[in-house]
Amino acid sequence: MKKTEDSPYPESWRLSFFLLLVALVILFYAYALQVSEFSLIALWRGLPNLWKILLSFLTPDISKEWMSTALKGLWETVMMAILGTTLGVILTFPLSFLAARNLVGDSLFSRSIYGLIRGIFNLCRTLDAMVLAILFVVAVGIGPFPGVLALVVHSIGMLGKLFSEAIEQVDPGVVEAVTATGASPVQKISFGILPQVFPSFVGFILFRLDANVRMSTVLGLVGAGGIGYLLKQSIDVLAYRQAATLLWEIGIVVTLFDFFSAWARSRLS
Amino acid sequence: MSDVTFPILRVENLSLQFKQVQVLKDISFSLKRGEFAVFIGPSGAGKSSILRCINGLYRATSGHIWFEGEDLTSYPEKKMRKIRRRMGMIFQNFNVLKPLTARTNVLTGRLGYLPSFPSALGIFPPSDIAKAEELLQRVRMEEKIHEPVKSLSGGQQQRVAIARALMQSPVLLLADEPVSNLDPVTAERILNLLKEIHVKEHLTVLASLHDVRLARDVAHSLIGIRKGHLLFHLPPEQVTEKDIQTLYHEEN
Repeated sequence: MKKTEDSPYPESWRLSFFLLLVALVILFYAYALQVSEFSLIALWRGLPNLWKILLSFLTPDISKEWMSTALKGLWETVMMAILGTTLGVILTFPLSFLAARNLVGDSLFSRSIYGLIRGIFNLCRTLDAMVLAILFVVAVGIGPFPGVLALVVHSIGMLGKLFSEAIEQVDPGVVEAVTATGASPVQKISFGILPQVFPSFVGFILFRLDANVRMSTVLGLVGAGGIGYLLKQSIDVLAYRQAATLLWEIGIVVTLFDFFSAWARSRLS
Repeated sequence: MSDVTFPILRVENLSLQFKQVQVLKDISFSLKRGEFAVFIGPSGAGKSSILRCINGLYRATSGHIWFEGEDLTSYPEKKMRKIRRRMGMIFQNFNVLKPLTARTNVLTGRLGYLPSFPSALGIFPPSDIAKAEELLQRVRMEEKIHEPVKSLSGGQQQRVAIARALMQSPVLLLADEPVSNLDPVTAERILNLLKEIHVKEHLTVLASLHDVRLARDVAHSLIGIRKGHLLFHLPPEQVTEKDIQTLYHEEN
C-alpha cells in the first residue's frame, strides 16, 4: 500500500474518511430540509399567489382615505424610531463609561459595577427587538408605546457595546496628560475622552437610527404600533393592494433614512 | 529668601513594584530650586516611572517624595490633584488633544484651577484665554492658535504641550523623553526652548533623555538610572565615559 509523503496514513484510509464525511454532510442537510418542511412543490403551487401579490404591488391602493391612514402609520413608525433611539442614547451614554475597562478601577466594587453593566448590555442584546416587543405588548398593551420600549432596550444593548468599546480604545497618553494637569474626573472625561470618541459616537447613533426605523416598520406585526400593524391587518383580510401601499411607503422611508445616515456618516470622516 | 538652597524636591528610598516586577528600587535624590536635571539610562530602566511617581500618576510602593516641604506619599487622589497643578508635564508622544485647537489644548492646563462646571463644557474665563494666547506666542505658535492640533507637525505639537504645561504656572516641569519622537534638528530646537523657558520662568526641570550628548549640553546634573537603581547624580562634567559605559553596559 502506497503512502503519500505528507501523510503517514494509507491512501485508502483517507478516502474512506472523506466518503464518511460527505455522507454525514448529506445526511445533515437532508434532515434540515425535512425539519423545515422544504418543498419545491409548495413553492410551485404558491407561485400564482406570489404573482398576484407582485401585481398588486404595482397597483397600490392610493385612495385618499387609505393614503391618509397609511401616512399616519408611517409617521407613527418614524416617531417611534426617533424616540426609541434618543432614549436609548440618553440611557446608554452615562452607563458606557462605567462599562469601559480602562476607566473603572481595580477594586472589587468597581469591577462588579463594570461586570453588572456589561451584563445588562449583553442581556439587552440577546433578545431580538421583535421578541422584546412581544414581551412589552403583554406588559403594557397593544400600541406604539411597547414598540418604543423594545427599541430602547435593543438600542441600549447595541450602543452600550459600541460606546464602551470606543472608550476603551482612546489613547491613554491623552488621558494621562489631562490627569497630569490636576483635572477632576469629570474634566478628565470631558477633555481626555470625549473629543476622542465623539465622531465615532455620532456615527453609531446615526447607524442605530437607521436600523431602528427599519425595525419599527415590522414591530407592528406583533401589535407594537406603527405601520407594521396596518400591514398585518390588511394582509389578514387579503387586501393586497392596501398592503402594497404600505410596502412602498416602508421601502421609501427606509431608503431615505439609509441614505441620510450614510451621507451624515461620510460627512463625519 | 533662604530657601534658594532648600531642595524643591526630595525623593527618599522610592520603590515601585508592578505585580511581580520591581520597577524602581531605593531611589534617593534631591533637586535644588532652579536645577535642570536629566535622567539618562537604557530604555526600560525606570526613568519614566520615577517621573510618574513624582506627580502621582503612579503610586510608589514605598519611600517618600517631598515636594516643597510636603510629603506626597500619603496624599489621597483629591489632594494630589492640587499638587499636580504646580507640576507641569510633557510627554514623548506629546499627548495633545488632536481634534481640538491649539488654544483649547493650552487652556486644559488650567483645569486643575477651575471648578468642573462650566470648564468641562469647554468654557474658560477670559483671563485664562488671554494667558493661553500669550503662552502660545511665547512658544512661537501664535499663528496656529485656532488650528486643530492634528494638523500640526510633531515639533509644533510639543510646543503646544509645553504651553499647556506652562499654563499651570508650575514650579516644577517634568519632561518624559520630550524630544525622542522628533528629528535631530527639531529636537535641539525644542530643548533650547525648554532651556530658555527654564531660565526665564525660574523653573526647576526634571527630564529624561536617551541621548547622552543632548543631556550633557542642556543639564545642570545628570542622574544615571539602570534597572530601577540610581547609579549617580552628578554635574555633566563629572560624569566620565566609564560611568556612561557602566550605565548602558549590556549583560548577556
